[in-house]
Amino acid sequence: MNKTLIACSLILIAMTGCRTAVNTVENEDKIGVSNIIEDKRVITDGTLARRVSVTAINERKAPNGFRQIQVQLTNHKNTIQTIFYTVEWFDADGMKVTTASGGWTQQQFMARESLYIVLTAPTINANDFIIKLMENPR
Amino acid sequence: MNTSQILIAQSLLVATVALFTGCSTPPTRIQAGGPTAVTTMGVDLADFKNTAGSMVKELLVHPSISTFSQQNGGKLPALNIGKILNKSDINIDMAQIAGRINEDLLNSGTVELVANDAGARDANAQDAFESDRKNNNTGKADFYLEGEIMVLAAKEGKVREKTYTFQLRLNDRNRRIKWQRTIDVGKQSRAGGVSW
Repeated sequence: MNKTLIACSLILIAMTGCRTAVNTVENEDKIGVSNIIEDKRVITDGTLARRVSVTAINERKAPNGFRQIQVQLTNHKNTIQTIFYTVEWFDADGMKVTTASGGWTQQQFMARESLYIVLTAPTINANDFIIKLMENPR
Repeated sequence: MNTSQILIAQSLLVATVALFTGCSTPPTRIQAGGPTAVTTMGVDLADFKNTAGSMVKELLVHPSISTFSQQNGGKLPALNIGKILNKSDINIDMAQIAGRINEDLLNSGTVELVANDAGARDANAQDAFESDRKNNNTGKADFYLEGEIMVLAAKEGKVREKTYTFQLRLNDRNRRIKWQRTIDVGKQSRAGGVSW
């Protein structure tokens, strides 16, 4: 019984070891300076948070005053993950700015991959944002 | 037929009815292009919205648009949506993408759009008549947004793949390309197996 269990475990380990994860190499001394901003999180799906999560958000102002944010999303698993994300922008009065484009975007992540998504405010007055993440509901 | 057989027969009847009625659900309203929307191998609403969104977020901060006002005494750039050609083998309404880009750029307050609808053409003709000049029926624009959509198809065994390439350009009045962006939308499906 124990031998069967060990054999099964070894096969399982071997199979998961076959997954292709993303290795990265980057310059150690960074020239660019990221303006990382503080964020506030509400986690309602712990499983999703353990799979894919926002690992950093940095920002800049475009020359015409539009706010741009760059969101780093990371797949923490050794398997390919697909999630949906969207961003909503709010003006100085806290009112949502409606747009015709954008909306929920389906994004595939390779194993252990980080993706950087640049988002631009739809108007010069839109400075606050909420990023929503969810797993495929279908 | 004894009592237990009648009960079994009735249960089977109820189960069969429940099975068949369970197969159909009444239509519900969904978030258009949202996570619960159907994803096809064609170009969906979500593809139009996402592609237009990617184009808009770049155009809003591109120097040609963002610095135009400063360089032209506060005048906003006038944008004309030109032809977006469909070079794919499927029927795609390109107004879905052009209209969304138009709308978001206009509502951002960074551009003015040249109207090309029937009312604008009538006004153009009237102006030409009153000023006694030839009517060329085009509004004066500082930039023209043009482009095309292309498709690539691939197949390996039961796996089918389609890649839709949206390519847009921003040309100025001197026929110089000021901005160009290509966005690829890749879709994959596996044929075969049991499906309903």
